[in-house]
Amino acid sequence: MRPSRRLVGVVAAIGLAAITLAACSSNSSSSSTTSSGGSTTGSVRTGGTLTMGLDENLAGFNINTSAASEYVLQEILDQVWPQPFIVNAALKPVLNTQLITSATSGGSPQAVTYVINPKAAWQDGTPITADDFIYNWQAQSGNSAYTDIGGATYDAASSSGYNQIATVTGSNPTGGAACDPGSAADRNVGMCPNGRTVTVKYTTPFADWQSLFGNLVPAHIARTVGWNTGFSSPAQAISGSWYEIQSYTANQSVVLVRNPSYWGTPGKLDKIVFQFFSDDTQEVPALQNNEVQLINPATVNTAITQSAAQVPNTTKVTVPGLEFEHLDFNEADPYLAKLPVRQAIAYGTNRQEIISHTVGEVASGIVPLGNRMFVASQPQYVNNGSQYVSVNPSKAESLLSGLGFKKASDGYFQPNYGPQSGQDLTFTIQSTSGNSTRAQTEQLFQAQMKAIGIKINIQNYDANTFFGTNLPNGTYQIAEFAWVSTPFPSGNQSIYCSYTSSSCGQNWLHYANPAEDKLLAAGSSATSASQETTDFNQADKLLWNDMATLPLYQKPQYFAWSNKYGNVIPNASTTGVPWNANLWGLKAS
Amino acid sequence: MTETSDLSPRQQRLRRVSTSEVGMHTLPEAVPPAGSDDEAQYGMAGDARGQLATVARRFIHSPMAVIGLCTFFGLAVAAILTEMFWTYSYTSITNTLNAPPSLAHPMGTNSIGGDVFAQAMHGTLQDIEIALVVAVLATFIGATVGAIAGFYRGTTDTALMRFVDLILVIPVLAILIVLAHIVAKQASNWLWLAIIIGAVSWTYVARLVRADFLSLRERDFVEASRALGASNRRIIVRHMLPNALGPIIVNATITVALSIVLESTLSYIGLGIQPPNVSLGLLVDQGQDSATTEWWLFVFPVVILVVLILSIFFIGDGLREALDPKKNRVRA
Amino acid sequence: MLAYILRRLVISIFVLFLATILVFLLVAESGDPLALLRANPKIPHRVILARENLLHLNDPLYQRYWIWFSHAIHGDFGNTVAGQAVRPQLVSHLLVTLRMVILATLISIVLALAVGVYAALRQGKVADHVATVTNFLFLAAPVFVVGLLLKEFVAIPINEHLNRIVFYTNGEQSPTLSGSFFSRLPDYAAHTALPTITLILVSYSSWAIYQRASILETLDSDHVRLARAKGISPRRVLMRHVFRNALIPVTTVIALDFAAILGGALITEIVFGWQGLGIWFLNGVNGLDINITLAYLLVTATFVILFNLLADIIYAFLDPRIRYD
Repeated sequence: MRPSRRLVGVVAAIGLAAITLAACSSNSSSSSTTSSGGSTTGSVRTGGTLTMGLDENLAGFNINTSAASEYVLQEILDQVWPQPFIVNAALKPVLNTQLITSATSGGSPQAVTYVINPKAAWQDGTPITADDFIYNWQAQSGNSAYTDIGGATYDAASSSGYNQIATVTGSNPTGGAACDPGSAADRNVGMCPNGRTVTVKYTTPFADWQSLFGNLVPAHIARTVGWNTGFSSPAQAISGSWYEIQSYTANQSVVLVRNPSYWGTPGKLDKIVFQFFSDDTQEVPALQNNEVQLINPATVNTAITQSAAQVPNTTKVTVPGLEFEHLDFNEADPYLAKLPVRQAIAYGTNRQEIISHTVGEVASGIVPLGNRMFVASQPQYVNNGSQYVSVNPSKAESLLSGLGFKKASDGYFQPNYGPQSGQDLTFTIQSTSGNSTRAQTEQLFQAQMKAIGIKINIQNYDANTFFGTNLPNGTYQIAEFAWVSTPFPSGNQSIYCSYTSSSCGQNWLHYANPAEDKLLAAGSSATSASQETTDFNQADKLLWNDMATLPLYQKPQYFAWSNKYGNVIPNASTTGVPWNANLWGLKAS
Repeated sequence: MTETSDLSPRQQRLRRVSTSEVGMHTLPEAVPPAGSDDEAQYGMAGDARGQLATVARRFIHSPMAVIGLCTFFGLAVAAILTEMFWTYSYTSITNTLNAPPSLAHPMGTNSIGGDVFAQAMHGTLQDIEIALVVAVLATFIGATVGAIAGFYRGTTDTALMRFVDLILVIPVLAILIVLAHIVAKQASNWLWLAIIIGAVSWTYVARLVRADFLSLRERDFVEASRALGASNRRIIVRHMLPNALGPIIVNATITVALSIVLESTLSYIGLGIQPPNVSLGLLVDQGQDSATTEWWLFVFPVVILVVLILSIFFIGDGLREALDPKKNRVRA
Repeated sequence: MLAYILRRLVISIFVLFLATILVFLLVAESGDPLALLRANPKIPHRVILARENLLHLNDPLYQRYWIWFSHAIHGDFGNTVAGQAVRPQLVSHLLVTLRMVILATLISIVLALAVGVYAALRQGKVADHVATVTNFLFLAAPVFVVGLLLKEFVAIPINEHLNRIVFYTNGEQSPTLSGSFFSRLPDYAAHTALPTITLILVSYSSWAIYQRASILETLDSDHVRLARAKGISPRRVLMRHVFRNALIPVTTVIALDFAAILGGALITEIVFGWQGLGIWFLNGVNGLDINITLAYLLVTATFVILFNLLADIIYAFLDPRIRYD
């Protein structure tokens, strides 16, 4: 049985929050680029229905809360709530010009100006204005001055970025002074409800400003029903985009239909249906039965790909995903604290073999990952770990001998200090239970470590215990799990900055290096995207020198859809494949 | 008749052929020679040797029972031999990935290159290990609780039976799911798993033994022993338990089978044996998606699992028939 | 008799109350439902505190239990960890499960009686052996094995052969289903077929075995022998003497077995992806959600208690020798 194996859902609760939605590589600060659709693959006609499979249930519709922030919800809301920037298939954030005619960032202190399309309005007629931006900022700012209805604390999945905003103001349509939200009283009636130009001023520069305001929550609704728990049904999740939610049956399906009040180019399909599967392996038989026409299962293994391969008249595509598996080393351990030990493990790990025995069977071209900040399919990727690409057992052994460890008759090294002195050097590797790929990776790792003289025990825990207790409390030695990379690398800061600093809450490695801190801080506050990329790549190089963690490989994403439909373009970012669902349609011919 | 309805349906179904409790007793009642100190031996020695032979003979005459016995031992021996002598172990990783059955790998390989035959045999062994621990634990606890409840009656009985109710009121799977969460999920957790399965399986034996004791205590030989000054403990352990032994043995056998079912179900939903350790249920779980593409990953574990459970059931049924004096005969 | 029922009822409710305490303690002590959230530093600490307060995680155990208890007796089962109301979820999932369970139980009873009687009457012949082996086979095979075998080797090949979907293997209905109840019925049926068949196969076998044994024993009993000796026709003997005595005991067995049926339904739901009570419970326990766990416990335990009581009542009517103390 598999309770939801959405690794992304588990990890991305951490990784996703590091970068809200719209994940992609930012490559220019001003982003008035092309249309929001991306390339089309042929003409399609208007009309028809497409059903897509999803494998996680919803816990509410406000994706910006910690309770409801899920991958699958993002895919549903892609077409329902307004998104200023949409991440396209090339992992670039592209301005949604149908919503925002321009968005520019500049000046010092940093100020971003959004110009909202004058025709943009929610489906109940209320225009989309600065009011929405101001409300969304206040709710996610983490500032206790702002509270939800009834005085409740705002439940925000992530305040990063928002907590660096000083003010958000809206233009005054009569041309006078800019409208400032001002006092709390204004919040009840609407703040700058007529402002079509929004100015966001930052206290300290935030390089990933394009990641903010990703899914705009309708302010006028949130004020009445409440941000935390008010969005429990489609009646509150009104549309400000191409499609609206027609119906929602808990644990069954969400049905989207065209939003008749949409002001821009309407979507092609009449209906988009999302069907929930409790088990993502059910999605392939459903595709075969034509119960769904598009699937993107979370588990990608040979069972799924081979059974999907037998389904006729479908297109199957494997796309490098943004999620990557890696090994964490806990430097609080007296042996892992030593750099040569970590390097020995890195030299002894045959990542190519791990790949070929696991994900390599479902996707070709997966290589050992050489960077922690960016994955291989991102344009910013630089391979900083080339010396570790091929396994080097002799070098690993010489590193251990160099420390004074002696190889015993059973083939294992024995350290000459510490609690394991005189015994076989043993480490325990932990991961989440119920994941066969991880279990297999651990087995391979165990065999590879045995070859260089290190004993490995395998111990897995359920996700709650693993992520909630063992990692944060440091009760582990080696851990295997996945991070989700994004186009906005500033989220990496809290993982690798020195654990001694209180703001580094996600550094579970017990790793500290002031030089690293400098590079990470420089990158997060860089004023240009290219500067940010350079800084973070430098930071990654240093991490390779320090061997803080060992990236393994980038996980592939698998998409399969019926050939009757056109313009389906796989998108590995958290936006998901419905990023351009407004262009999906039945093929004309 | 509260006692009868307190008997679990499993018992009724598999062991009883009559609705009266008299049929439960496997050894004819008799009064031990007065003053003899051999009362203790009454149950199994002396006459018992003759009875053992009778039971054995009856058992052998049932073809299903013999088939079950041979199959079970065949599987167990095969599993042990494989662990000791086969070229691959259940943790071996080879470079033949997803290969169909061949000479080198009689049951094929899985996606990591592991030998399915070695894994299936280790899984069988693991399942048998767990099942035996469960059976011993459950029988011991159940017999103790049931004996005390049936012998002492009164408030002790009520309290103990309500405790049994407490466990029975919650569907077994539900308790197991909750308990399995508390057990640390390590590869070596099979002992803990066996303990928690045993903790929910003893109730059937308890009710059975209690029902037996409730009627046994009224028997003459018990009164006689008491008149002769035997302590309660002696009466329970040396006189009454041996009389109730038959159904206990049958029940223990059935418990072995049921615990394999429970463990494989738990492993199937991910709360049982964890990788890299294997059990048959876990193998079925891992292979279910490949049932049509890599059939060997699914079919072999399923067949072995069903055959294993079935063989134990046959043994249990054979024991029941062999131990029951009121054996059904063909009617004209 | 009435006094006995009432007394049993009162004791059962007390036992149920104890069971909720036990399960509450088990789940409360097995971990922190907000652990994942806590590990995420992006979430402001105040948000976590607010969630904690909503779930009363910082209150002492007895107080948390009392909060749950005092609401539960009014029918309010609290909220899930994610903040949604438990009761509507409970009801909708229960209805889904009942769909499968009621249908399966009824058909199983009929099948068990038929097979048991038939095998008993043909004792020793080929039909009996076939029936017995089949019974044991389905008794031995775990629920998930039967479900998987049906799914992979019956449903999918049939669907492929007939080139249309006869048996659905996932879910309890198609998502875009609309229309009147009767027009939706074929879709429901196509989705319900496989899980119900699975549940039937694993349930009927033990009852059939018991039924067969029961009939055989009755056939051997004195009063049947007497009836035959009196020259009553075999058919009449069967109808009036054998069946009447032999068919009723099995109902107590069936009633007592209800807990096992619920367990079987849990697994069947997982195999076929139904959003029923079982899978809701499993996910709840995995997420350390106390309210879901206790709600599930209440519902299933109530069913078990009621059915146990039913078994006792039937048995009392059945056997005039029974006297309740």
